[in-house]
Amino acid sequence: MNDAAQIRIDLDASTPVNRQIVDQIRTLLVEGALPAGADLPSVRRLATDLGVHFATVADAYRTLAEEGWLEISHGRSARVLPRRAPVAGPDAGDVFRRRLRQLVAEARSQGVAAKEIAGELASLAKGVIA
Amino acid sequence: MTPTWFMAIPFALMPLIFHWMPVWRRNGIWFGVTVAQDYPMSQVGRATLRDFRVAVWLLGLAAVAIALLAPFAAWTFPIAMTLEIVGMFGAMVVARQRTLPHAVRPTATRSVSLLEPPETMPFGLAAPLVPLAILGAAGAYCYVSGIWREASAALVSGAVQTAVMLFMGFAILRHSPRARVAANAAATIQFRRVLVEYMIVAAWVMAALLAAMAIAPGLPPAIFGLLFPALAILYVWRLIRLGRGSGGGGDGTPDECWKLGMFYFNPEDPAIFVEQRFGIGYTLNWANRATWMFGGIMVALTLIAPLLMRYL
Repeated sequence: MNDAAQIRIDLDASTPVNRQIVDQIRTLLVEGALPAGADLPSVRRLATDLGVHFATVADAYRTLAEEGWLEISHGRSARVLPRRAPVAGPDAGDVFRRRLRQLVAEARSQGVAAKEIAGELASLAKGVIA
Repeated sequence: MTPTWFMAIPFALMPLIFHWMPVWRRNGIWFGVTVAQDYPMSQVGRATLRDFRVAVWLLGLAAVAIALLAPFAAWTFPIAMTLEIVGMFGAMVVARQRTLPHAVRPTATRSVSLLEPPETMPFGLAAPLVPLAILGAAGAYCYVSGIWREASAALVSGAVQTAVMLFMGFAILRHSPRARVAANAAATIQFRRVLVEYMIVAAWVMAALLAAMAIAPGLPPAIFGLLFPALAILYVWRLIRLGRGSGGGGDGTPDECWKLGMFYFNPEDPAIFVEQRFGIGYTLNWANRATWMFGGIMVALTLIAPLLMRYL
C-alpha cells in the first residue's frame, strides 16, 4: 500500500466521517502527497473500501471540489487540480490562531505533553517554510 | 465398491471439511465472531472447537448409517443429507453463540491508500480469451466434423459456466473492499487476488474439459472429480495461509451485521461482496439492493444455457 497517501478514518469518532475524509485529503493535498493530476478512487470505490455510504464520500469530494482541489466527473474518479495558493482574507490569520489555540488546548487536556506539541508545531512550521 | 457405498462417500467427507473449517479463518475471527487474537488457543475457545467437532462427526456417522439403508428404503438419502447439512450448520450456530460472550469490539478505524493503481483482472485479457479460444476451436472442430448437434450441449454449457465464473471474479474485484483494516491490508489484497485467480483458472479448466468432452464424448466424467478437487486443494491451501498471515482487528465488518454468523446484512455497507467469516471465499451483502441485481444477472446467465442449447 502507498502509505504516504493513506487516509485513516475512525467510525467511532465524534467528528463526522465526511469531515474526517475532507480534512485528511486536504492535508495530503497541502503537503503534496497527492500531486496535481493524480486520480483519486471513484466515490464507489472509496465508499466500498471504507465501508461507508456513497453519499458520505460524494459529499466529501464535493466539498473539496468547491474548494478548488478536485475535479469530479460523473462515474469517474476524482482528479487533483493544480491549485494556486489563494489570497488570505483579513480574518484568516485570526481564525487560524483561534483554531490552533483550541487544538493545542484540546491536546493538552488529553494529556499530550507540551514539549511534544511544541516539537510537532516546529516540525510542521519547518515543512510549511520549506 | 457397491453403488451405495460409493454414494455414502460425500456424507463421510462433509464432517472432514467441517472439522477443519473453523480453523480456516483470519486471525481474530472465531466461529464468525471478532475475538482477541489469542482467544482460539484459550481453554474456552478450544472447548468450543472440540464440542463442535464431536457434534460434526456424530452427525456424519449418523448420516452415513442412514445413507447405507438406501437398498431398503429410497427416502434415506434425502433424510441423511438434510440431517447432515442442517445439523452441521446448527452446530456452527451453537458454537457461535458460545463464542459471542467473548467477542471484542472490532477496530472502528478504516484505512485506505488513495494512490493505489486500479485493480485489473489477474492474467489480463487472457482471462476471457483463453476459454473463448478453447471453446471456439472445439466448436469449429465439431462443426466441421459434423458432430455439432451432439457436442453443442457441452460447449454451450461450458461457455455459460465460464462466463458466470469470470463475471463473478470481475464482480468480486469491483465490489468488495480492498482492505479496510490497516493490520490486514496486505493479506486482504493478496487474498482476494488469489481467490479471483483461482476462479479464472477453474474457468479455464472447465472450458478445456467440456471442450474435450464435446470432441471425445467417451471421456470419463470422473476426470472432473479428480481435477477440480486437486485445483481446489492447491488454492485453498494458499488462501488458508494468507488468512492466517493477517493481523487482528477484525475484517472491517460489524459483528451485529452477521446473522447466524453466515449471512451478512448491512444496509450501510456499499460492498456487494465481503469475505466469509466461516469457510473460505466471499459472501453477499444481502442488505444491498445491488446484490439482488447481481443475483438477477446470475440467474439470467444460468437460464440462458438451456435456451441456447435448445436453439443452437
